[in-house]
Amino acid sequence: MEKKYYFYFIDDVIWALRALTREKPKSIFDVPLFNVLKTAHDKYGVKTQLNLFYRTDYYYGMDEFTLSEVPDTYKEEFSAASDWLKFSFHSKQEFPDYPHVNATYEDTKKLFEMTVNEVRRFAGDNSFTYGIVPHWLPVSKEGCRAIHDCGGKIMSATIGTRVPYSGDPATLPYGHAQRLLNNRQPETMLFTRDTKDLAIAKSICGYNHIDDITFDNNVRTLKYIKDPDTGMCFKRTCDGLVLNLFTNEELKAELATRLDDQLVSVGNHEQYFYPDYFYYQPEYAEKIYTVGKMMSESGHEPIFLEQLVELQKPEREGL
Amino acid sequence: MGKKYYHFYTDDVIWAFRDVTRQMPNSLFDNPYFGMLKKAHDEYGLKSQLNVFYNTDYFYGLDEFSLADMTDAYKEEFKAASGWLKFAFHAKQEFPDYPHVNASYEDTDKLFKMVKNEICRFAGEECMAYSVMPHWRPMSYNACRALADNGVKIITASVGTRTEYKGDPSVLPYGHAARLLQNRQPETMLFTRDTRNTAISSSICSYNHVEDMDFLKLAKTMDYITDEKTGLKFKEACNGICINRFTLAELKEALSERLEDEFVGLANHEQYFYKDYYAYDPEYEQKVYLLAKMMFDAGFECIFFEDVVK
Repeated sequence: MEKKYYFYFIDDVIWALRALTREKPKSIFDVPLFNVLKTAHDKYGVKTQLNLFYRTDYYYGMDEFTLSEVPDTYKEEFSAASDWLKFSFHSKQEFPDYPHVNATYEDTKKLFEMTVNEVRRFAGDNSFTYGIVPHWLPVSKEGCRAIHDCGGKIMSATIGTRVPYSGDPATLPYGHAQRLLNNRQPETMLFTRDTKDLAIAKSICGYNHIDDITFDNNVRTLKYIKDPDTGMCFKRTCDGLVLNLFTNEELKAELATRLDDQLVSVGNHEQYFYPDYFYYQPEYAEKIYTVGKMMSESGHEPIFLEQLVELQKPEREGL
Repeated sequence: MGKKYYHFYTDDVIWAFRDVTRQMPNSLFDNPYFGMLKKAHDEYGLKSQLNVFYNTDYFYGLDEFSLADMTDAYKEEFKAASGWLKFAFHAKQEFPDYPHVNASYEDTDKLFKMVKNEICRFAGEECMAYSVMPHWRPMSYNACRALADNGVKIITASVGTRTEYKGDPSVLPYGHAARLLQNRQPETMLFTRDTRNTAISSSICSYNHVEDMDFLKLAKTMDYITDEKTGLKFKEACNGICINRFTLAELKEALSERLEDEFVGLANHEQYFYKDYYAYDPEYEQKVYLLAKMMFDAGFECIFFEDVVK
């Protein structure tokens, strides 16, 4: 029987590192979020990719924290866990939406290096992973080039028919037309996002976009494509399976439909773990255990996104 | 005939400081933005209150600049201009929207002091204005208290019937329900904003809000109301004339309808002045000159907003 794989990632991670830094526990696994991930690993073998913000956002107040403040006192513990717990690039901070959509090469390279250098410092070289899930997904061509030049191997991509922006901001969620227009690049256009979050179905796409709806069928396989212009590999990840958009019961039902898939990608966001977040989800930990248990029982092997490029060659070259 | 007054303020100011610091012109007024304001002052007596951000926003990229970076090389020039050019608190940065709606006392107090300390350092205490037009307007009760405790005299307020938020984020522009919910305070509710920008008609209000629509009538007079709990004065600062929302011709027409008012408040935003801004307005400078000339010709005296406090 064909081997089956899954990978699990959490976007927007910074608060757990802030808690670690300020509370100085004996072990990283005394921090509740890291403890949940270790439990999921110990019981079900879950491997977790944490996609990092470089700093907390002013959105939540004046109390700022950046990765540069994380102590290196837990480096050995992070290194020892690096076969199942890795960190990756995501964004400087939570807002604005679509931070990379028209980003310059210079800004993207600088931010990537800021992030990877801090991770290496506090967690060791092996704790950084080069499969990239950008915040909000779209990245400019220059941004893709920069990430590739920084060692990025594969990146999450959007899929669907590109549509030109008409000039009417009401065709996008409030505020997003500004993101499209600021430093606008020629590849920045619109598409319809397949998501349970209907408020953002009208979306912006950048260069990491596959204008080929038939490739959508490959989301549940190991197949990916390679862009010869930037050298970056693209794959649609997640396929709508973002844990914070499901109750635990809905998640079980959804996962049950995917147990024969060659690849299952599961996304999540850090914020919903915390009781003081306005959309706190008490089932947060349970949902991670559900993923681990169901994937383990169905024979899926956990991998990191970057391992896709080691498992097989690209399906095709060119977008 | 009674005396007539107007005031003019520009929100979101930070890029002019960045340019001055990086380009180090001989005079502050060699900077195009400050040069424009001086010309409007010299020719028509315009006084400008610039409501400042503490730092530029990541929205525009990684190139950050904060008021702490602002050179003090022009302090004497600023001080000499303080009769017609002042700075005031606005927000830490351009985003998120509604930065003060549920703000804590401590955060507001800290940010106000950060802004004030920098203004005093690079421009002098005489350049600090103590009237506040908060970014997006609504401020929590605790934030209003913090402003009052820092010497603020008067603050702009929103007006209209308060309505409850019932949990449906789609009744607000995308992303704004999350602002309402983050650290939600009991005074945070909804109202309908009277604005040419209909995308934000459905708005959030907070403590600096007045339900009585008669409050709007005060906007055309020198009158205001006093909030007994905080001691702050509340007054509508602009009443619809935000000049980046008008073409030059539209502005001329809108102003001509206000020339008999006792008091006129005129607003603007810095960004539209710059050619690399996605919504650059090539008429920006002409509109500033137009309003100054029309108000001058109509016999208005230009004042700062804090000057209305008796």
